[in-house]
Order: sequence, then C-alpha cells, then structure tokens
Amino acid sequence: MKVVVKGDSMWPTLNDGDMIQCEEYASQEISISSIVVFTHPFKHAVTCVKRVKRIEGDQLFVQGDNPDPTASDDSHNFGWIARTSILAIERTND
Amino acid sequence: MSEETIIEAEAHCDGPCGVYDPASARIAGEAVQSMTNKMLALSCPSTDDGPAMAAYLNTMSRYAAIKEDEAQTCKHELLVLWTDFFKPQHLEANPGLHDTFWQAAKLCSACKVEVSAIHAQELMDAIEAIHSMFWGVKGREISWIRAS
Repeated sequence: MKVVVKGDSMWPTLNDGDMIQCEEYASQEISISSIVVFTHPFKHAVTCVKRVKRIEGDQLFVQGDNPDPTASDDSHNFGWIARTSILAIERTND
Repeated sequence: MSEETIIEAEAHCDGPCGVYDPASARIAGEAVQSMTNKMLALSCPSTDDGPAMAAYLNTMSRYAAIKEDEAQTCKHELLVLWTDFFKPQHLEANPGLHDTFWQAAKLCSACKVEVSAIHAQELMDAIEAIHSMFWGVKGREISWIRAS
C-alpha cells in the first residue's frame, strides 16, 4: 500500500505530499526507528504517520522527526499508542 | 488492503494549525509608529500656562503609554510567529528569517525606550519583510497593506 504524507512533522525525512511504500501491519515485528502508520488515539478518523522511538510491551512511543517541538502531534501530546492501532509499517529495502 | 491502496496519513503539528497572521504585528507596529509621530509633533506649551501644561502632559503620557503597550504587543505577536508558526524547514527558503525576527524584536524594544521615527519605520519595514516570508511560506500572494 502507498501512504501520502500530509504535513511537515516528519521533515526532513518526509516532506508534505511525499508518498511512501508501506506494508499492512499483520503482527510482524516493529523495531525502534520504524516509521508506522496508525490511527490517532483520540481522533479515530485521523490516520497518522510517525517514527517509533520506544517500545514497551504492546505500547509504542511515537514521535515526529521534525526537531521543532511544536511541529508534531505525537506521543508527547497524546501519549503511548497501542500496537493494535498500527495500520502499516514503512517498507524498507534491507 | 491491496498493493494499490493509497491512503493519506497526517503528519501535522501539535495544535490547530492555520490561525496565524502577521497582520496582528502590523497593526500594533502601526500604532507604535503613529504614537511616535504624534509625540514628536506635539508642541510643549509655556510653563506659565498651568492648564495647557496639564493637558500637554496628559496627552503626552497617554501617547507614551499606548506606544509602550503596542510595542510590547507587537513583540509578542512577532515571537508567536517566530517560535510557533515558522519551522526549521522554512529556513531553507528564508535563510535570513532568524535575523529578521531578532532585529524586529529589538526594534520593538527600541521603540519603547525611544521616541524615534527612524526606528518606528525600521520596525514597519521588518514587519513587512516578515509579512512577505510568512505568505511566501503559505504559497499565497498577499499584498502588504497598512491601516494608516
């Protein structure tokens, strides 16, 4: 599946409008630094893309790459997300 | 989901984006310039004329108070744009962004402690430069206007 990025919170890795290739999440392993697509914990109609910074059991701390602290709506704002909210993982070449 | 599925994923900032406008700083800056010019144009009456001197001091005090308040408001509005709206990625297209804001904030301070028509105009020039950077980032052509 392809995911179109809307916004700049993943800058400089991803720019607004970039399209990334992802694979649907089916309980495969998620690593620190993976880019994941997930359902916003408080706004279920919103799909987000962020990078995984920490993993504790079935909870993940996700964060935008943008170094500006006001540039990303992520786990700093809405807390850890559940593994069950993950929709897809960016496909890597390695 | 199939290989051909395309979805959109939000990568937005931490607040409800979009309600920023350098017009707030511009209006405050215009008030600073207006008060500065009024202070410079106000004639001092004879010291023997008590009522005229009282009116003069009252008017001058009001001009100074408004200038002080509006300069502080202008600085606040500029800092909100600088620290909240503009992001690191905007520096690529606007390498002079930080210096422009720093100078603009310094000019707000200068306009508070001085009665300088030169610095008041330099403040307006800096706000105009910020207006251009702001709307450039947003990809819109918005003409620079003044209320006065």
